[in-house]
Formats: sequence, C-alpha cells, structure tokens
Amino acid sequence: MKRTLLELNVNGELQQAPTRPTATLLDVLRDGLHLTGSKRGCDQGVCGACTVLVDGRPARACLMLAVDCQGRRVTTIEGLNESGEAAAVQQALAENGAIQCGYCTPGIVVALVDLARAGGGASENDVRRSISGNICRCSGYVKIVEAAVSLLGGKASDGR
Amino acid sequence: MDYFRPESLEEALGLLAEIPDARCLAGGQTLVAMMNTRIVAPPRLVSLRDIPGLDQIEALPNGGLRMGTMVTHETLMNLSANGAHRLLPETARQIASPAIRAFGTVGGALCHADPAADWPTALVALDASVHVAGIDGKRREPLAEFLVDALTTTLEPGEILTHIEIPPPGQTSAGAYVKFARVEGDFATVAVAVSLSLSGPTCEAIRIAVGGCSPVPTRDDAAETGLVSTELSEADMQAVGNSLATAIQPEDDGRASAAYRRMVVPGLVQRAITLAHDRASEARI
Repeated sequence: MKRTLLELNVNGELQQAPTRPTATLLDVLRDGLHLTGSKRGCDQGVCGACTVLVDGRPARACLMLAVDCQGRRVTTIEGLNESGEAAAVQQALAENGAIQCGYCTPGIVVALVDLARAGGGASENDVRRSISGNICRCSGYVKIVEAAVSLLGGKASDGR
Repeated sequence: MDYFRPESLEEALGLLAEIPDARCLAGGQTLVAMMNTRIVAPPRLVSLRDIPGLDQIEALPNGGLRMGTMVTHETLMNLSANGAHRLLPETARQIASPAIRAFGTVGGALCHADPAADWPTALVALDASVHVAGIDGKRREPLAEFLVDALTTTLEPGEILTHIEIPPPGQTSAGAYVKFARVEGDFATVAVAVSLSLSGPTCEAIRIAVGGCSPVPTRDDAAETGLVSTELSEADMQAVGNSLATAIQPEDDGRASAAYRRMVVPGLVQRAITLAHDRASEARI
C-alpha cells in the first residue's frame, strides 16, 4: 500500500513519519516515531492501554486514524513524563503498590492525568469512572483506585 | 485507500459520489475498530471534521434542538437541557468510557445502527428526526423510519446524515434512560428510554423505546396511547411493560438469552417510567 509522509504534532513537536493511509495513531506512534509507551492491547478501543491525549482529551490511539490527526495536538505518556505532569500520579501508583505487570499503567496514568486536570477533588466513584475504559488484569483495580484517591481525593467515597 | 478532509458539505458529497463504497469518517470509534479487524476496507474515507457547523448544537425558536452529526457524546453529556431533553446528558453519560465519549459522535452512532447502542433508543423516545443530504438534495425523516434493521438505515451510498432534530419538550416533561448492562459503559443488554409530559397529575403524552432487544428500538403505540390520561399507576406501568416484553424480538447472544431479556423488560420499563414521572412531578411543583 502506498505510503505518504504525515506531519503530526506529537508532544509539542511537529514530527514526520511515512505512513500507510489506514495506519492508526497507535501504529505511527509506536512503529513510526518509536514512542512505545502507548501499548497495543486489543486494537478495538476496549482495553485502554493505548490511551493518549488528543487536543487535550483522552483518546484511544488505536481508534484514531493517523491521517485524521493532522492538525491536532497529540500528547503521549512520554510527553507527560517529560513535562513532569505524570510524576505525581506515577508516584501515587508506586507508593500504593498499584503496579503489577505494568502493561495497562501508561493508559491508566494518562486517564488519571486527565482526571487531575479537571481539578476540584475526585471521589472514589469519580476515579472508577475515569478509568472505566482501562482494563487491568492484575490488580483488581483496588490499589489503583486507592492510589488515585490518595492523590486526588477530596471526598474519599460518595457511597455508590 | 484515499483520504479527504473537505471543508464544505458540497465538496464532501462530491467526493462520496465519485466512489460507491466511499465512507464518511466521523469520530471513527466504530469504523476504525472495524478497519483494524478488516471487517471493512473502505476505498475512500471522507472526514467530516472540517465541515463547519456539524459539531454544533442549536436551540430552535420553537424550543426544539438541532444538533450536528459530529456532536460528541462528551458534548451531550455536558449539555444543560430542559425537561425531557435532559434525556440527552443522561444517555451520554452511560456510553462507553471517557476516551470514547470524547470522540465518538451521535451521527456516527445512528448511522452504524447497532441494536445495542444507546442513541437509537434514546432518540427514538425523543421523537427525533434526521436530516440527510445527498448530491441530489436533502430530506428529513423520522429516526424511527431511518432505522430499518440491525446495522441498516435508509442512508443511500453518497448520502450524509448532517443533523438530528428533536422537537420541543412538553411544558411539564421529563425523560429517563435506564440501561441494564454487564458492566458500566458496556452495550445494553436491555435499555429503556422514556420521554413523557404531564398535565396536572395525569400523563399527557409518553414515548417508550426499548433497546438491545430487537433489530431496531421497539415501541408499542397502542400501549403508549393506553397510558395517556392515566396517572401512571403501578398497574398501568405493568401493563405497558408486559406488552413491550411481548413486542420485542430478542435473540440469544453473549450478553443474555432472549428469555432473560423478556423477563428484564417489564421491570426496567417500570423503573424508567417511574423515574421520568417523578422528575416531571418535581418540575411541576
């Protein structure tokens, strides 16, 4: 299939990558730009391991066509690392023993950074909702939720 | 595959007309997943995201709403609406997860016409109609007629669903969207959407749509008419619940058996009517 040169704004820099027209953003991030923090789990938008920010909103990199991301701002886990925005979330996860195999962790971190950006404290329910699209097969989520509530919780739990 | 991102509707229609199997790309949250598994391989994609106005929600002079096909679930989740139109944020909140809601669109969901999806059920209850543009002109059609069968609509090759229009909410109106799913954010095993208005304590008008149980959302005209001018007693609600449980055409699938769905429908109908009724009563006081 014909390759075209794509220009994408990734982590604040314009990057060029030769791309098949049907490539997803995840394909280009991992294989073209070697940003392998975003993981490929299902390629169906179900698992959340590839979660990135597109124009500041959480997005499934596997469900965005790369070519349709031209003109948009893409922020990956690497970008959040470099800017330091992920640090607090990562530390909370580490301190609470919320990381096992780690495959879901970049997606979880991006989702929780999005929740933290909203500001104003988060209940346990808010946390569970914010990571409801991120599947973790190790933890049973309890430690992840505890970590997020310890960092962001104003109201520890609102019951439901 | 080639890809275009036109900046006008006319240009988009022209691009679609050139290749019969060309597809529109809206939020991509279903189409790209299908492309990844090679269920579909469109020879051309026409992205709708640069066409002005398609991501806007407009309040109409008569109190109705007109929303563009590219309005996302997230936008509707944050919509401040009146009366029965509050069914929109309540439904949007229950769709998938934050990342899907941020990019998935209402128009994309209607055109895909998945029987277990949320918007077809909720918008049929709201008596929505769709605006469709083609190279030969425009048409408007009730959503209930636009949805023909599972994954099938009246959309012809080359046509674009551009807007969805919802009539004004009744004076004392409310809605409710109650979804029964395996986990939060999953497709519906059974979903019930209710839109009603009250006149004093009695029901003035009501629409009830059941989703996840038939190729397209199920309504029962006669049962709805039977509820008008009642006070929506428990017996009234049971009757309509039972008749809807008979009207659906459920199948066994991974989520539930057909028999199970028939058992769930009456209770869910009652819950949704009760919710909507309570909300409308509160608005009346």
